[in-house]
Parts: sequence; structure tokens; C-alpha cells
Amino acid sequence: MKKGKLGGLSSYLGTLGALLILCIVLTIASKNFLTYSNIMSVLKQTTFTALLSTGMLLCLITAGIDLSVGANATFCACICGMLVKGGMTNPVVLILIALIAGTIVGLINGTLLTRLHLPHPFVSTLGMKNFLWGASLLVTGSQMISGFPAGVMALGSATIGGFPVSFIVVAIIYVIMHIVLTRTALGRSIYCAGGNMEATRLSGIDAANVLTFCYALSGFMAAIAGIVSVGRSGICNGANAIQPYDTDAIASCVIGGASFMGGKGTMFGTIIGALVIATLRNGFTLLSVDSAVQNMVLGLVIIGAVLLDVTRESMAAKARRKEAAAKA
Amino acid sequence: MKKRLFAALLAGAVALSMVACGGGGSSSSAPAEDKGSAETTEAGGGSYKIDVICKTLSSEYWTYIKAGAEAYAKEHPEVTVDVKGPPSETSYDEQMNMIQTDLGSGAYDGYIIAPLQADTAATLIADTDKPVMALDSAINSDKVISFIGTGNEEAAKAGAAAAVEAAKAAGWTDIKCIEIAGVQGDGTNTARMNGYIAGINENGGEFLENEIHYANAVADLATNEMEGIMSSHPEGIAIICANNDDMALAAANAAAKAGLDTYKNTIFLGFDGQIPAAEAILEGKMTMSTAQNPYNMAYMAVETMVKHLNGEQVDPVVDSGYTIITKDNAQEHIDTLKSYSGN
Repeated sequence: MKKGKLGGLSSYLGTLGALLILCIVLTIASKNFLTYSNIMSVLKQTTFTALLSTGMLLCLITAGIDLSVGANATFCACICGMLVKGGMTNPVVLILIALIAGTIVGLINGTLLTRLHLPHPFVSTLGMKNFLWGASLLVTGSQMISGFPAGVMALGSATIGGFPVSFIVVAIIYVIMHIVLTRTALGRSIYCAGGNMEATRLSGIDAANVLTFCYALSGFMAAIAGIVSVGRSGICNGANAIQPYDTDAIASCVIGGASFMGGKGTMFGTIIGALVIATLRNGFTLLSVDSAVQNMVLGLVIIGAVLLDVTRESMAAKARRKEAAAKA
Repeated sequence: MKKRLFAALLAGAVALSMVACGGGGSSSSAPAEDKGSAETTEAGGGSYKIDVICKTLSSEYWTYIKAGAEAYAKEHPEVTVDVKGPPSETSYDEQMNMIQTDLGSGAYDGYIIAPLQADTAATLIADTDKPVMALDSAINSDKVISFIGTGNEEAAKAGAAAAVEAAKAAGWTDIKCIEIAGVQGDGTNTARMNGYIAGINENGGEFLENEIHYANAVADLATNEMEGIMSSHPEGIAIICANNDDMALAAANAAAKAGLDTYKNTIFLGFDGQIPAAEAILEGKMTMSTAQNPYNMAYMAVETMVKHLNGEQVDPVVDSGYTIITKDNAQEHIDTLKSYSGN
């Protein structure tokens, strides 16, 4: 257990180094990169992915995945949009309904996996993604909806001295989630569930509840992300549901040290991963890089990150073997 | 060890992007210099740096936009333009980030934005003090000085009207029209659809609003939809209109393959008038297409922005026009388009 944590530490230090290098390169390449307003742009652009990554990380730690996060965020925004179109103007009610809708979607994802025993969440959440895409279009009548009340927009648009409130919220959520993952029994159970299912069961942890919690939380975070997106863009649009938000979230987690094998990943690493992606995109725009090249580089970064994960894994296995050999 | 490995990987990726960026710039001569010579633009009096954010750069239409904007810069050395765009016309989020980044950077004297989601763009530009102009699609905001383009709706309406005439000429008496549409909920899609509905219904046709087939703007799905239409309407449909040329051509091909007599005289109406579509119209595979004039549109947009920056009065709407491509003018259209890309 202790060893796993140390491994996480070294891996996110590496990611942090990579982010710094990226920033230094961009500072040299563009005189507009290292300015207050641009850094604030990067933070604003990080929040959406960072929120989705929170839930994604939990699912990845349990060796699962949640492909419906992006569609869920859009769906929650569209539910709000539908209510706004219907004349609802109370921001508290709107936000509450969005949060409940997102969490219910997450609960269904969790239930499909644990209670109805669908083989791998890849399939069920992929199905959910398509379902939510259609549902988002249906509730909005395939129209873009604007005119959200200021209270709903605040989370995504408000700033304090230029600093985005949404990023402060992200920071608070990340600190809380870090404490949950590292200091509580629930956190340890989540890591356990990703390590060895049978051992988890034998040690008396109710794995089904732990997994359901992870997916429900993922849905909750997606709902917050949906509200942030409404604030940032001023609109909701069901067509957004098929955007590759989920891959960005997965990439953030994996760049930050999470593994598809489960049992690994930290909140700190994940936020760095999300920052790396947002910074790369920001740099592309500042340097007017061709969008075809952008796709290629982002693809390479994702492949590179997974390659790193595999390499890390095999190095860890080698180290374990060496240790065992030394003991014997 | 692990640290170094990752750093190397990422630095590699960064290096690649830098290299690729340099390469992309040098292939198009005009904007290549502006990255290196930012100082000169700041020094000179009436010299401007203009940002052109497109809906994407990964389609033929937008390469003409890019060519048009860059042509202006080439003819006017004191003006530099940066043309950029997200990977696809549904990359809403990425375009939003691009607009936000560029407005925040303060690197430009003026912004020309072709919004994927007009209301989002309106939200983003609400706080800027730099001039903003809308390209291709209008933005409803008092910050926008001019809109340069042809409404998708207006052009689609004209195309639909021409299709009804063509259907009458082809001997149809009961002129029904079915649309094979693009991405449901997408702004451009909605605008073209509204144009088709108005153009068909106002000219004596009947637009079947309950039978709109969404094919996500791609050809293979349009083929499936067309096969479905032929099964459900064996009696024949006078006009099949599509949201773009790819889908119109795919639908026309599907009908030709099926070889039904009832679909022999069907009018296939596309949108965009790109080279492959114009060639298909010449060969008689497809009937007609509505073409906006992206090259002129972008050229006029940069021109209008420069005028405004020089303190001249500009029109709130600059119409760049449209052309309906039929067998008669397809060859001419192809030649014009080829001359743009030869620039």
C-alpha cells in the first residue's frame, strides 16, 4: 500500500516537470503566453476537464471507466435549458435539479455494473453516452438554448480579480477528494477494489457499494461540469454530447499517473494532467498551429502517456522481482 | 528515471508541435512572416494584426476562407492575418477556448470570428474593447461591428426555390421535398433547414417536415437514409435536398444504384458547391448546389476590418453573395475555385 503511494508521488513529480517544460517552451515561443489574462484563460479552460476527471479517476482506480461523463454534463446542462425554456428562473432549483439528474445517471451506471452484473463499464457507460446524447437533443427539441439566469451562470463565468471562481471550486473539490482518497476508509476501499476484487471481498469491504459510489460521484461531478459549461458558454446544446470530453478526462488521469489496470492515480497528478492538456491547447491557439497538427500532437501525447503507464508498470514489476530475489 | 522518460516524451511532443507549426507557416507565404516579425507590426502606423477564427480549417470551404483572408494580407503588406480554427465544425468547446485565448492575449488589433455557436461567441466577446466582426454566421451582440457573409438560411432558400423550378421543368406536378440533414441541433444545420422549408413551401412545393432524416453530415449515413426514403416512398419524391454536397451526392448515387424509374427525375440539391460536387453536376450525377463565396467573404471581411481600424464607416452587413450551381455554370465555378487554391 505504502509503496503504491510512493510510486504515485514520483509519477506526478514527473508530470509536473513536463508541465513546467511545456510552460517554459511556450513562454519562449509566444510573448503572449506568460501574461496574467492568458494564464487565467488556461485555468478557465481546465475546469471542465478537471471536473470530469475527478469522477473518471475514481472509476479508473477501480479498474473501471466512465465514458458517459461528457454526455452526462451536456445532459445536465440541457435539463437546465429545458426548464429555463419552460419559464423556470430560480437558480437554486435549476442547479439542484441538474445535480440530481447527473447523480442519478451515475447511480444507474453503478447499478448496471454492480447489481445487474454487466461485464465491463466500458460497454454500459458507452451505451449511456449514446442514450444521453439522444436525451439531450430530445429535452431541448434539438435547439440551442440561451438566456440562463445569472445565478446559474455565476459558477462558470464569475471571477475574483480576474481569477475564475470555477477554478477555486475545482481546487476545493480536489483537496476534499485527495483527503477522501488518502485518509479515509472509503478511499482505501476504492484503491482496494481496483487492486484485487477477491481480496477486497475477503477483507469484508462491500465492493458493490464502493463501486456504485464511484460512478454516482462521477455523475455528480459531471453535473457540476455541465453547470460550469453553461456559465462559460452562455448556452446549452444537445449536439455537444458527442464531443470527445471523455477522452480528455481519461487522458488527464493517465497523464497524471492513473492506470487502466486500476489501483493507481492521485488527485494531484490528475489536475496536472488536466493542466497539461489545457496548456497544450492554449499554446496551439497562440501559435496558430494547424488543427490537423493539433490532433496529431494531442494523439501522440495520449499514446505517450499510456506508453508511460505500461513502462511504469513493467519497471515496477521488475523492481518487485529484484526485491524478492534479494530477499531470497 | 521515470521523470526523465516522461519529460523527454512531452518535450518531444512539444518539439513536434513547434516544428510542425513552422512547417505549416512556411507553406502559406503571407502569415509565415508575422510570427517572426511581430515587432514590425507594432512599429508601423497603419499596420494591423488581425485574428481570423474559423469554424474549422479541415474542409474545402474553409480552405477558401483561409486563402481569401491571406490573399488580402499578401496584397497589403502592412496587414497580417492569423487564420485558425478547431479540428471540426462540432468542436464547440475548442473554438470557445480559442476565442477566449486570443481575446485574452491582446495580440491582435481586430477579431474576425466565424462562430460555431453564435450565443457562446456573444458571451465571450461581451467584455472586449477590440473590434469584432462576424464571418459566415452572424453573432447577435452590440460588440459586433459588421457581419460579413451570406445567411445560410437565405442561400438555402434561394437554392430551394431554384430546385422547385427545376422540378416543375422536369415534369413533377406533386412537388414534395425531403431533407437529408446534418447534425441535429447544430446551428448551421438549423439555418439551412429553415431556408429549405421556406424556399420549398413558398414556391408551391411541400416540405415534409415530419420526415427529416438526420445523417450527421456524412455520406455513408446519407446513403442509408436515401435507401430508407426509397422504401417508404416508392412513388418517388420530387426534391431531395441535403445540408451539404457530400450527402446530396451520396443520396443521388444511392438512387442511381437502385435504378427506380420513380426517382429518375428527382432533383438532388446540395449545399457548398465544392469542386467534387460541381464535377458531379457536370456529369449529371447530381442536379444542383448552392454555393456561398467563401474566398470573397473572407477577403471582404479583412478589408472591412481594416477600413474600420482606419476610422472609416463600415456597413453593419456586408453581403458576399451566393451562386446556384447547375450544369450551365459548373465548369466556370470549378475554374474559379481552382484559381483560388492555385494562389
